[in-house]
Amino acid sequence: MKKIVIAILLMLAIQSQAQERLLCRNASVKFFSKMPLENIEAVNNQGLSVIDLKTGNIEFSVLLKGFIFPNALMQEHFNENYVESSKYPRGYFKGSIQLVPTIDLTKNANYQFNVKGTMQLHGKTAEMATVAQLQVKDGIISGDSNFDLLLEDYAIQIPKLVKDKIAKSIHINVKAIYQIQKPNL
Amino acid sequence: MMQKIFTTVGLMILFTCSVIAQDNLLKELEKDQKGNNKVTGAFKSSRVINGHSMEMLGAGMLDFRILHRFGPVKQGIGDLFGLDQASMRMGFDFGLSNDLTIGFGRTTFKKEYDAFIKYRLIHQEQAGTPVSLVAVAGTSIFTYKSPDPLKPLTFNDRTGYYAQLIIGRKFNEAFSLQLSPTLVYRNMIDPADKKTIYALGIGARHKISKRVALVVDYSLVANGLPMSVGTNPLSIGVDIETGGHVFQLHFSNSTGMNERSFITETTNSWSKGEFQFGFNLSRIFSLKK
Repeated sequence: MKKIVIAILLMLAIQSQAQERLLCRNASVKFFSKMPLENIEAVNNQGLSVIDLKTGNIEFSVLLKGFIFPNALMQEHFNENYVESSKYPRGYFKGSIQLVPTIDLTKNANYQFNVKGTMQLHGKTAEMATVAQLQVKDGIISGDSNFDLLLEDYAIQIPKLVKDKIAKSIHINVKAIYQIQKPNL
Repeated sequence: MMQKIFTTVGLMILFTCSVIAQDNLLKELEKDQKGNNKVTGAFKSSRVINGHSMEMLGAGMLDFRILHRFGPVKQGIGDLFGLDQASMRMGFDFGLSNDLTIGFGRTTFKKEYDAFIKYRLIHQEQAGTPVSLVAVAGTSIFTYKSPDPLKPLTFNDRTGYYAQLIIGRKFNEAFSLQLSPTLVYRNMIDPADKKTIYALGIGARHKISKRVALVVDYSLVANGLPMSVGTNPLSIGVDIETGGHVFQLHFSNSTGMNERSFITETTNSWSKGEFQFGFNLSRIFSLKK
């Protein structure tokens, strides 16, 4: 009897977990630096993300060398002079959804929630809060969010000579299409 | 009662498992992710000072280069330490791909044109290939009129060629070193000279801040120079990078601005206090939108 109960619980747990973890390996992370003299835009399509719908934990990990710039020199300067990607290869976000809504992945719906957590970049960690959307449409689960990062929070310095070309506040747009994680315990 | 305990323990185990899994999942995914681990920025510019560096231009980039070499510093204040005299080279380099660059330029000295093609065979990787290997081939042709009207210079007389292999490594964020065995061939030479010259270029860079680096560029000429006159070119300088510009300020015993010239025509000697100031100015433009 006990064994049966445990076995049922185990199955239930695995199954429920299977439905509560969302995974994305190709999140698009875009950043924009808008200044009167120059606009800089770069994109990374290899962002990793995991959302645990049960606990509301949400995580991102982005390889900084994966950012593609329109111009090879900018890309080199980004990696060499600003984020120092050989020393600090990834940017991380670890946070949680505030007031986790009940999300039914089988029904078309839009959800909006506040996310709070910490961003780790360039060896520094800073608190961050944003609003994120999650959309379920015909079985496709997509998330997106917009927020700004202050370069000074992450000790990324802009030399005086280019201070008119690089914004102090960088706008970030994240888009991810999630898969429900298959049970693999 | 027992049942409750079992259930609780079971749930606890499951909960722990799922927490561990959550933490590990992202780490596991990171392991699978093959990022670009190519090493970049071994040198600030595609030239150490005079010679080619292991760096390439990015695809679609145009590097407009203005080089100046002034007169001997020891001429003193009367000539503003050589600044009254200058020869210059203006050049354009194009990055056809991330591993292929072509370029051409013209030097005022001897009214000489030069062109080269530079190809990266191997790109150094983090935790991978330890060195970069770059091959360069170039040619030059001077266009000044023959001083003797009875002995006009043929096209062949005016030309020279060089071939070079650059083996370079960025050892850490600050320090990079490269060796470049070079062959220079000239068609017209002094009778005491040899047409084919072998040299070993040694280039090193040490960063002193994110945007400033010390550089040394030396060529050891192995054979062929009339060594009573010819010397090995040694240049010592500072690279300053400001966004799209790189300024390379240096002192050198050589005034040559292409391989034929600085490897085979350097006659000043540091030990006699014969050196001059010079600079390279590189401005990089993006040709593609």
